[in-house]
Amino acid sequence: MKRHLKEWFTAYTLLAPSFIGLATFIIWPMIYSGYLSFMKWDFLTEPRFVGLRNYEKLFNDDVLRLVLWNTAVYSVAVVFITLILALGLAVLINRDLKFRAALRAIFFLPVVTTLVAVSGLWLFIYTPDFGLMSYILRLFGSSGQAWLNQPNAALWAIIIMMVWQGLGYDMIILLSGLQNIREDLYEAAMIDGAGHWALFWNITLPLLSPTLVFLLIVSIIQAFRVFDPVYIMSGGTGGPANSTATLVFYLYKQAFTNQDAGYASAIAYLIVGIAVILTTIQLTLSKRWVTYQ
Amino acid sequence: MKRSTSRLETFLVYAVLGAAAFIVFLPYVWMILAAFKTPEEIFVYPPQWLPAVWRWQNFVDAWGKAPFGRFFINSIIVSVSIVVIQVTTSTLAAYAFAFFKFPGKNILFILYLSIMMVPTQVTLIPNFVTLKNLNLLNTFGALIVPFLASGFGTFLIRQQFLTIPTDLIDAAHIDGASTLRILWSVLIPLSRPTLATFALLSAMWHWNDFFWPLIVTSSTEMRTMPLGLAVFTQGEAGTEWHLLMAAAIFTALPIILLFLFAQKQFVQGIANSGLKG
Repeated sequence: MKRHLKEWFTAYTLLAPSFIGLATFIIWPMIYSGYLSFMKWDFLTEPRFVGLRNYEKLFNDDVLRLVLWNTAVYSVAVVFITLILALGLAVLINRDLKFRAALRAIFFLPVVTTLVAVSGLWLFIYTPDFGLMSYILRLFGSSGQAWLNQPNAALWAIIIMMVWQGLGYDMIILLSGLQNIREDLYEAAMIDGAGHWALFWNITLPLLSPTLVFLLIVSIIQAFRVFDPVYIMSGGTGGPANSTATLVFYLYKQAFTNQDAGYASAIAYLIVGIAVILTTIQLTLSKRWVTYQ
Repeated sequence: MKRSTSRLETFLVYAVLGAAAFIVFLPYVWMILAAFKTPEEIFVYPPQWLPAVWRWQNFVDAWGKAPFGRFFINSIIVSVSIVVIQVTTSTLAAYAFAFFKFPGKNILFILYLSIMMVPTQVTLIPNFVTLKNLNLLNTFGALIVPFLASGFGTFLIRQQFLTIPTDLIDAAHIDGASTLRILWSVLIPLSRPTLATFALLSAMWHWNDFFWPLIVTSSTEMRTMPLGLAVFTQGEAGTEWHLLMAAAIFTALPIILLFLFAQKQFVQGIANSGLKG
């Protein structure tokens, strides 16, 4: 018994530093956020209990509806376009190639480039008269336009940039998934006379499904939290006309521009709710769709 | 892959991959060339790709236009401190989870795992308030203290520890080695690649972080590189694109260099964990 107590004591001592950190800056904040979401608070005066009013506001806020729509469009577009392009690249690069390492490094470069630097660079690329994008578009006969100033184009400008940025990440994960598929499966199918497309649809895609479902959900949850590029590309406004404002950006605005800590906390819990729903979908899907070797 | 391929197919694969790599790399070329141009050369249409004179001076000008020296030191202090502290706290916790029996172990481990799923935005306002109450806003404390521990790091290192045969640890016990001695001279030397992977990922996330420094710092002296660059984009430099591109390069460069030197660790870390920053 005494030896047990000593082992327990040692284990708790080893855990203490990280536990104190996590408890103070993750667990306690989660509880405190929940409490704040029932309050009206401006960070200065005493918090005042308002019941469910912040949550009612979630349903009646027209800007929030637009923000949710923007976030959904952004997330779905970025995630699917990136995934499809990355799948193509991963399949192509998964063979004996010269320059394979160099190609992989190039595709991965944007992943490790500071997002603020990426945003600054693309701000320059999207500059109307002398930017790279308008130059390329004019080569194809289109007229160069100030995409970031147009409510119907600004979000798509950010989407294109983020596809470029995230491509290498998806590619690396898919590549490691592809390398787990046994080569003899392909050989057997080739003996049976299967062509390239048949191999892709009947072996590669089904056996890659765990990786694909995993990437899909992780990326959507990640995309729902987008903030940096929106802040930089819109000059901190979420404009033009709120067309690039996303959930986290809106939370930030409510908390630090409107000083409405209660409503911002309710939005935070909305984000948690969405993350929980997406994770549940992932768990269900990976049971139903996924094919194992 | 041993599958036989025709010559035409090989050519097509190279062509498609080459074109894709060109498109992905083109923005970098554009950025680098612009960083060496004069403002006049930037405003030319159609674009003049190469600068007439390579102006290294742009980097010096950009560095001096905002206190980037100060931002750089801040970023180094913040990311190095976070990495050292996180590697330490995560290793200790991983040691407990991998080799000790104690009440509440499973519940605690599940707690550490679920913490990885918590969106940072939920913790935003409470952490801001905590730091305000501790009088730490706009100090290094505010930039470092919330990141003392990492659920992800604990998990990653525990997985590595579990691959180490317990015989080794038992043998060390019999030799009379203390608990910390075993960690230091048996477990850590065998786990260097995993510790390096975690350190690199953590360094990348915290060097590149923009959101948190934006919220807890208010004075120019406390800004980190990405925040300094962001303010630079918003006005201090206006539309001095040549300086902005130079600043973007020196902001991103440290992590890009780290990546080029330790590609294997980065790529494996990301492929194994599948985690985004």
